[in-house]
Amino acid sequence: MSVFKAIIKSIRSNMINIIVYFSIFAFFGNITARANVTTTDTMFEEVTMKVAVTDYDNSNISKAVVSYLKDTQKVIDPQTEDTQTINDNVRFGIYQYAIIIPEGFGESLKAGDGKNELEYIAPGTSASEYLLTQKINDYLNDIVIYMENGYTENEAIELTHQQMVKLNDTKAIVNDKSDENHRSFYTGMFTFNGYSMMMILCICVSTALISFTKDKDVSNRISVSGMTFKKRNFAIIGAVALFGFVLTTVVILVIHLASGEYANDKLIYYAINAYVLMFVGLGVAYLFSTITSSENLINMLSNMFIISMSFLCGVFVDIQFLSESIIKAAHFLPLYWYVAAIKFINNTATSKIFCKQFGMYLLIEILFAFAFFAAGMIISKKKEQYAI
Amino acid sequence: MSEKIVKIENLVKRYGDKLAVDHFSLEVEEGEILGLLGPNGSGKTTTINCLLSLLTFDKGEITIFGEKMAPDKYDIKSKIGVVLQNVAVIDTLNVYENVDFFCGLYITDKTLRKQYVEEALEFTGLTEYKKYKPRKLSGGLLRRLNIACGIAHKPKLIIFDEPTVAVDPQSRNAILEGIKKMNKQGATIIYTSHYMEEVEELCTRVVIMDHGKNVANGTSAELKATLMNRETIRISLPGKSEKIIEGIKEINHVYKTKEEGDDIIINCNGGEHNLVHILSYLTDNNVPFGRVSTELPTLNDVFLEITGKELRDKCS
Amino acid sequence: MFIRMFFYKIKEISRNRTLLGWNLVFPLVLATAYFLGFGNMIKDDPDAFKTIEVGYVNTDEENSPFSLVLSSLSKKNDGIRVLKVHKFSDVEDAKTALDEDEVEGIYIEENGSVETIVPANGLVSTTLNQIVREYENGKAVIETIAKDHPENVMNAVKMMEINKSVLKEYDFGTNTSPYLQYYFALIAMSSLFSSWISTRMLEGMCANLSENGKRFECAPVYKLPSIVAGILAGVVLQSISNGIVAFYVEKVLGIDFGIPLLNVLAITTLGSALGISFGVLIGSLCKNPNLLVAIPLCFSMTCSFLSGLMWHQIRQLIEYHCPIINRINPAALLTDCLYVRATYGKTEVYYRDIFTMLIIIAACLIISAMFLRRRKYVSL
Repeated sequence: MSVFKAIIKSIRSNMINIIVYFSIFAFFGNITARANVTTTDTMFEEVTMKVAVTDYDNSNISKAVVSYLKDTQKVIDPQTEDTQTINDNVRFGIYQYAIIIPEGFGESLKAGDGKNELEYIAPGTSASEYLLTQKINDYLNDIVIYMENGYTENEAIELTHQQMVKLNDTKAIVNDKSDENHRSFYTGMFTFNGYSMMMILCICVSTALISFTKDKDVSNRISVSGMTFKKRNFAIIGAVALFGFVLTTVVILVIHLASGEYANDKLIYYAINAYVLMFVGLGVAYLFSTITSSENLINMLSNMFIISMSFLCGVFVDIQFLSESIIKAAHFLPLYWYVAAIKFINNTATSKIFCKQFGMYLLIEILFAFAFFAAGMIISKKKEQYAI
Repeated sequence: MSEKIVKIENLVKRYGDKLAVDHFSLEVEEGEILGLLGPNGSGKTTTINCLLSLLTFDKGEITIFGEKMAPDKYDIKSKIGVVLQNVAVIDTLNVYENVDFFCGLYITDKTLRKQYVEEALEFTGLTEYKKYKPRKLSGGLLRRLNIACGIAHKPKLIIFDEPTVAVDPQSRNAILEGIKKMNKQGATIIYTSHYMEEVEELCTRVVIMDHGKNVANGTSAELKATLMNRETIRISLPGKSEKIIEGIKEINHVYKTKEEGDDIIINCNGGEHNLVHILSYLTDNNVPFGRVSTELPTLNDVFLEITGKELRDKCS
Repeated sequence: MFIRMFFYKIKEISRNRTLLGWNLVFPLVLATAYFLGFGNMIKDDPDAFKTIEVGYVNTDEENSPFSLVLSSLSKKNDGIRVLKVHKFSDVEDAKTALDEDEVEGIYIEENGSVETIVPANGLVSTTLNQIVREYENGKAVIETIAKDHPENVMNAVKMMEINKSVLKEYDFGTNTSPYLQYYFALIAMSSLFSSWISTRMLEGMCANLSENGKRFECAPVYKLPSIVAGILAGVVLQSISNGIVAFYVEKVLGIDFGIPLLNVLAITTLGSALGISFGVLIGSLCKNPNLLVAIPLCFSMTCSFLSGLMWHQIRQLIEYHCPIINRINPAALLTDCLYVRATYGKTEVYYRDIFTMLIIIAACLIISAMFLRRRKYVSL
């Protein structure tokens, strides 16, 4: 019992690490999962964008453009007049599009001299940029065409507006049948968990494991104690497994509590996958604890290995953006299979998840966990043999 | 009369409510090896830290080489060498570089420094290890490196704070011999230790500190002379009787007897031929006796007599 | 003495494997991970417009007006080809293609009206729907004019065909990828890690922090010049380390910062000085040796995180909601300086960032000097 307690206490002394990574998970995992969540719809809905509008003109036409944007998009205040800051806000996604209506724009449009053109700032040549530019251009062109062909300014604006309202009835038919096109909240959170849980397990468990070995005298004192090798190791494994189990359970509970309206009936499968990942985390932690007895080195190794693995296996960047060779290489990393299992759960109907393929993903993760444990055991045995 | 190298007058240092050094005074003369003894927590290290201006103090005055000591008295500092209780070396530098680095804080002339560093390495027997990093050295070698770093610049006053802790007898001997040699070469030495036999062998004078005070001061012989018990005699007396024991107690200088199994332990408070007198008494009374041993008092006895036998280590 | 101390500090720091690991190897590994993770996204913008594969079933006449719209959108215009049309003769075939992800949507034209079928809501479906709306909008405009001003119909049709652009994109010159932000934040992190160098250095010079410090303070040397020598050694080493990282990213990984390498080195040297001076400040204020590792680590990681090390948008988000944090966060200043230099050149903001960093360096060093001078006697 004393070894068990000592390991639990050692893990508890890493509370700051646990809190930091858990907060990152609970806060940023939540934000990114919420930002990327989409659900199956049968009704067509237009994508609306955040558009920052600066109107220096205040003419009827400029007001009409702003009102049109307010009706169809989410218009916000750019909070600055500096174009570089506006550009940065667009590039970093604070808003997706910005328009600057220069003074004299309305008059210039009517005159058709192209002097004071409406300027927009968009993030490169993107689909959203194309779409919105097209929409605004059409709207303004309609006004110009009406005005050039016998209508007053007010009539032109009114007609264009009515037309746009009417056009809202033109809707695509959504033939949304599978979950494949969507990323559930659970998928987002559990994917991020691949990083945070592995970090917590690696750092906390490794440092707890080396607490017995980093000081040679302490290690010797334990070796010469009356406690058998078997009993001691059972206590260590028990303590570490208990911590892993509690951590994973808390993670699952937090995800479930945070899911709210996004909850679905697949939680149990995500949970099984997370528990399996826990073994991988413990395996890596054990391996690290046999490689070195320096806390600093463990911290460095964990950061390097887990952050790199997260980037390569689709935790931080969706796997579709990775090159093929990277994806091939990622097959040799456990997080890849964890993420693959999450994708599988996401894309498969609940009744069909429990199948051979899902089992295979879990089995590969377990094999990785075993491989890490085995590597750790070989290293520790060799170290003992050669008294390193 | 020899010059006073160190003069501490009425030094007082408080840590909050706790009085660590209590009106402590001390004088060290040129060429002396002064042993500063005291139980754990008696104020030795605090005194040394005050002496080196590493620590402020509440009252008193410290003079070294005739000048008042202060943190910016660099001319005084340049003549002092310190060998700290804990090994203080730089892990990433090798043995030679460590000694060179610390010596360089005192000696700016490159050629002279090179000579001093090599002399220090030879003096501590580290020449063949000069390319080694500290973590590759054994405990004894590391202690020797600690000493080399403290003395390479040939200081006139060297302070050794328990330099032989966790050192094997061979290394300890080498260190003690080295200290004697340095002293012969003209260095004045302040030496603190818990090993009484070391102090007895090395020091020309001993000061015992307890509860921050100077409780005893003198040569080893002078201190021993202050003890009541001057000789302890142990005799195996299988056929002893009350009468015989009473008879022994009557012998001149015997002030206490104690029975331990067949043995009798006799304490004497003076005299030169106590054993002869006791054995004559036994022979005269036809009392058969076995093994006989006699012990003169040690510095350890003086220390325990003055500071008491209760345990001192407490959490501060 | 100064030069000797400088070279000894160079030797001491450069041989410290822990520092070498965190300050050089860790940024190199992270840079490689970034490269493998999203290196291609820096070179090719992931948000760039991709031609939409669309199925088209037309049961009306072959050259219907809508089919003309589709063929005009299938041509490259301003470097964008909006649609790639796959013609199907049968609606069922088109739907099968949609199910098998061969097309991203289907247009079915029947009796003059166009129906759009999409697999899910999103940008692609909105774009496909918008094309139909534009087509119907055009029809509506002509119909309205034909009703009210029939004499102008031809003119209106002509104008519609020209479809004059009345918008213009604001031109900022270069267009660096926002993903470069990760690399800039990485350099900032590695620069701030140098605060360890200085806390470690002070640890070895202050009697209350280490045994070496006791030995140092017993020696007849002035503390301040020794600390300055140590600071210089730290800056030199951290600059070299940052230089290696920048060189590795630019030349080995082939990611162009859009800044001349010498300019990168100059900015990162300033960053190193920033990290070192923060370390000196922490070292002079903090008396607990254990915290001398924890504080710089937490400080560096928090500042780097807020400058975009793990989430590239965060710095801009702070800029939008609470810009003052970005003005005082050293990692954000360094990141911003690199970003502004890469995107807009040497603008006022670039110089403002440099100036702020210089002020922070000076402030840290002055405050530290005051504390270290006051601490003539140490309290052990």
